[in-house]
Amino acid sequence: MTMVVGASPDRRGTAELDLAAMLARSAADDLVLCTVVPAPWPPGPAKVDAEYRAELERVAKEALEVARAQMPADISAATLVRPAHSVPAGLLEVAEEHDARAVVVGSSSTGAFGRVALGSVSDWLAHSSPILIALPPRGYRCPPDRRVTRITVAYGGSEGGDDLVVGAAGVAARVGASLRLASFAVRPRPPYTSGVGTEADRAMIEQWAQELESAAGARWAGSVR
Amino acid sequence: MASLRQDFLRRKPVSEMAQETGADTGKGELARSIGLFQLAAFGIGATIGTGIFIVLTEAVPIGGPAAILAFVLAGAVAGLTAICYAEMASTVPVSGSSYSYAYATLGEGVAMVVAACLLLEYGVSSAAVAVGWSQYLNELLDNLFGFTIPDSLSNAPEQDGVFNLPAVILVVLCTLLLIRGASESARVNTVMVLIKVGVLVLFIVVGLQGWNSDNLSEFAPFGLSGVTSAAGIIFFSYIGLDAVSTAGEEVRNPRRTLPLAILIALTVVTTLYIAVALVAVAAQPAEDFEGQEAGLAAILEDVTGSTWPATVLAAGAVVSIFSVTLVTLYGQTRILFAMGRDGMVPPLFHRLNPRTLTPVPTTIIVAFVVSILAGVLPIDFLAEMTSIGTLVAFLVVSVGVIVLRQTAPDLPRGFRVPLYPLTPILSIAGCIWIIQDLRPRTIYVFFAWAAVALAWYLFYGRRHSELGRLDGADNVTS
Repeated sequence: MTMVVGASPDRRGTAELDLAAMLARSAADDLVLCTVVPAPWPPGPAKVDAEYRAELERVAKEALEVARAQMPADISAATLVRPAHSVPAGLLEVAEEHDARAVVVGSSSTGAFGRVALGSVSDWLAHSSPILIALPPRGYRCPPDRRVTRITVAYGGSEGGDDLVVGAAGVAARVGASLRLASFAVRPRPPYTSGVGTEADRAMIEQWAQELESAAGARWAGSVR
Repeated sequence: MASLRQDFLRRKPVSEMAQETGADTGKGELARSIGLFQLAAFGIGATIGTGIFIVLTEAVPIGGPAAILAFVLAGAVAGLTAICYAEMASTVPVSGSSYSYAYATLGEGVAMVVAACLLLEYGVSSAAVAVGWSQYLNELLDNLFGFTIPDSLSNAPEQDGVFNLPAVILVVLCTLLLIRGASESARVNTVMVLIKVGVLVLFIVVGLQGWNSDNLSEFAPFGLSGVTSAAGIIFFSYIGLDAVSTAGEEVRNPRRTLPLAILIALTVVTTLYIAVALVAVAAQPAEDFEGQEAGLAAILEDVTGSTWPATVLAAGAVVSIFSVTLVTLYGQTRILFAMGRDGMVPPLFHRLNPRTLTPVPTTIIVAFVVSILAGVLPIDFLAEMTSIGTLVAFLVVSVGVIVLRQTAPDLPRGFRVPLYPLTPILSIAGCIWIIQDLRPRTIYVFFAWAAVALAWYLFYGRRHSELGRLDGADNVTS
């Protein structure tokens, strides 16, 4: 199958390329590196932009060639310039045409290094994309031989959580990775003035964890390591 | 260094243009998808812009009720020029502005003059359109909230104001959209056309109630010259018809479709305009038009005695004129972009922002200049400057058709004007006829502007021309 990578000509890092290469290697997928350029206008007085459109095409192709040159040798990557009214819409169109498994886009350049940060494109996609979105933390790097070894699902025991586990298990199976469920008990410490000590909630949390674990074990027994 | 004459006449090789614009890469997807009625509809949408909402105020005082005849005259000239433009556009195998066509066929100097005209057709018309928008916005605010922006902040100095703030705000809003890389979709385009046609039909139907034949009794108080003078400013409302010509390579069977589409669009638009004009001049005496702001809405209000039709019309105008401003500003920035690549203006003009892929410096410069024009100049002057610029650009294109038939008779042409050489000659004559009846002030300012453009060419464009640089390199190696 295919993954679509949103490649921007602004050269603000290669996190999405690194992530896409690793995912593609793990899943034995092809990549389509795609740059979205502004859409042409309908026939009318705005149709005086031939030179501008030519330059758009040139800039986009140049950026795509740079991106492809950075791809590890074992990854097959095609390139594509797509005119569209918005970047997310263009990426999703391309993804649909290629029957893509996932769309890989970068974190916002305004985020902190090492963190995932939603920008205008990734935010839009995260909220409305019908297919998987892969988003690296800002500044993400990956040596050119790595694969996905483990997928962690944040699991809270709710019904929606089950769907998430099924989805993640599918991805894990495809890329040959193990699956880990992680639950996080986030509790503020009780105030000193309560007089019950700072560890008073511990027993409660332990019980919750136990229940969750046995519930997950019952539900996913055999399929989860 | 080559002589001035050689420089002035050097042409951009056509094959190079095709390569530069990637004519062989992306064009296949678009090829030949537009049919006759779709193209005619695009033409109607592109032509009905702001003109009809504002020209009556200027044209009727000059021509009297006979100004309705001026619509026929201006329409006929617009049709002829559009047909000539279609041949020019189909001869050069790239889509671009008439600047690009002139550069490929008539030479660098002529291209510079055409570019100066296009700055009027796009840049100055953006300002005219924005001023018209501010009038209708004021009308709308008045009807809805009983509040108007004071004259000092909504009129040009010549009209007892200080600065036209709403017009400037409109330009700034459009600029922000363009910097972000917004473009108009075919669907939005269709909606805008429906709004524009809808409010004009509303005007005709409702305005008919005010029909008073007495207003037509003195039909042509200023005779034929009044009519041709009015045609000069009315031509402003036909700008955009040439958009049909530029769609040549996407049209099925262009030889038949192009002239028919131009004819259909022209007939529909002219009929609509004449109906609007007739209803308007029958509704009030000719002298009442002078200085009337948001003219069509004001007439509706007088005729019906209630405000709702005027409110609907003003709202339609405010929405649709917004999109017209967006289109003309876009066109202006892209024409300057092309000139920047050719070295005719500083390289700043073809710098792209890598994030938005839009020419941000050009957009800001254009917005700044257009804002000042819209802020301090009255609409009649802006509209006349737009008209004269467009007319001269078309004049050059019509001459170009004849020149090319003589100098390059064998070039493949997707479309040939019917009745050659009559059509281009009539087109040239029509342009000259309308131009010479414009106000002297307009003509003087135009000549001054053309002189500035030529001086710019002599001292900047000629030396920085990319084409000249290539030629120079050839000379060194040979």
